[in-house]
Amino acid sequence: MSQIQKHSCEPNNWVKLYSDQLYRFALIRVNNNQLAEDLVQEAFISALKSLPKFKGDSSEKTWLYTILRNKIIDYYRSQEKKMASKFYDINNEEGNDHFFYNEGKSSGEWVKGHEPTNFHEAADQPLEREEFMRILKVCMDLLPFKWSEVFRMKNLEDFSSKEICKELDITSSNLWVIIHRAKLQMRECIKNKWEN
Amino acid sequence: MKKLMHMIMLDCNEATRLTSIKKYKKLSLMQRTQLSMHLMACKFCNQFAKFNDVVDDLMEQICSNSVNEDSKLSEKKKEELETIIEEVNK
Ligand SMILES: [Zn+2]
Repeated sequence: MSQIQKHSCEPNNWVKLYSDQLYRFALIRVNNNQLAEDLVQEAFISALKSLPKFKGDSSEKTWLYTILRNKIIDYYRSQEKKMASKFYDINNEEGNDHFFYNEGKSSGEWVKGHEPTNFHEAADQPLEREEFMRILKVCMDLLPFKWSEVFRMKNLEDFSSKEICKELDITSSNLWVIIHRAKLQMRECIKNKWEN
Repeated sequence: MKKLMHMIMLDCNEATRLTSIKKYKKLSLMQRTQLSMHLMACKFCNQFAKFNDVVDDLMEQICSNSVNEDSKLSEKKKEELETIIEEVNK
């Protein structure tokens, strides 16, 4: 009787085979060498601990990526808790009430005090561009992981929106909501940091 | 007439939504027309659209600068990891 081919797991080869790829995967997502190294290490340790649970249904590579991705998500969750107070209603599921009136005569219009101004023009000034970039990076990192992941997948790996949805397990209408909110929140974040 | 205008004109919430996603999703002709009409009439959403273009560009740069094919884990870290794996996997 033939057996179904199961994937095997060889921890002794992990560093040689996967460590650079995993490191790049983490680096793209956290933008910090030291942190990316630590996350790879944590992922390896978790994988070793749960080795008995490895059933061989997926390849060890896929399995390691999943573990690393979860480590990155955990990292961002812990950051979000720290940042939550600094970044306006990041987990607000209510919608965009913060930016737009949602009822009455002015429904759908910009809430007073939140109307866009032209501060972004600084990005065109050679002297101010670097600072603008720096703030943009900070604000990108403050977005919930899934949100910023959308931009990384699009800009870095040029995933189609269909692929992004599949990877992040969201519907396409969710994707549009996330992108819209992410842009609104980032503008608010950059503006606040720029003007202070 | 007012009702008709309402059907054709986007509100700012919807206009910024279309602006935000246009790099990711091809808008329909109707949506593009509605959006450009709104942007002509509304200086706030017009500013938002300019901000959006700047940020889309810069994000692309930031993402591609952050990592390249040659980014590798340091040799020191690799040795550390080898040791850890050996230890735990005894
Ligand atoms: Zn508007």
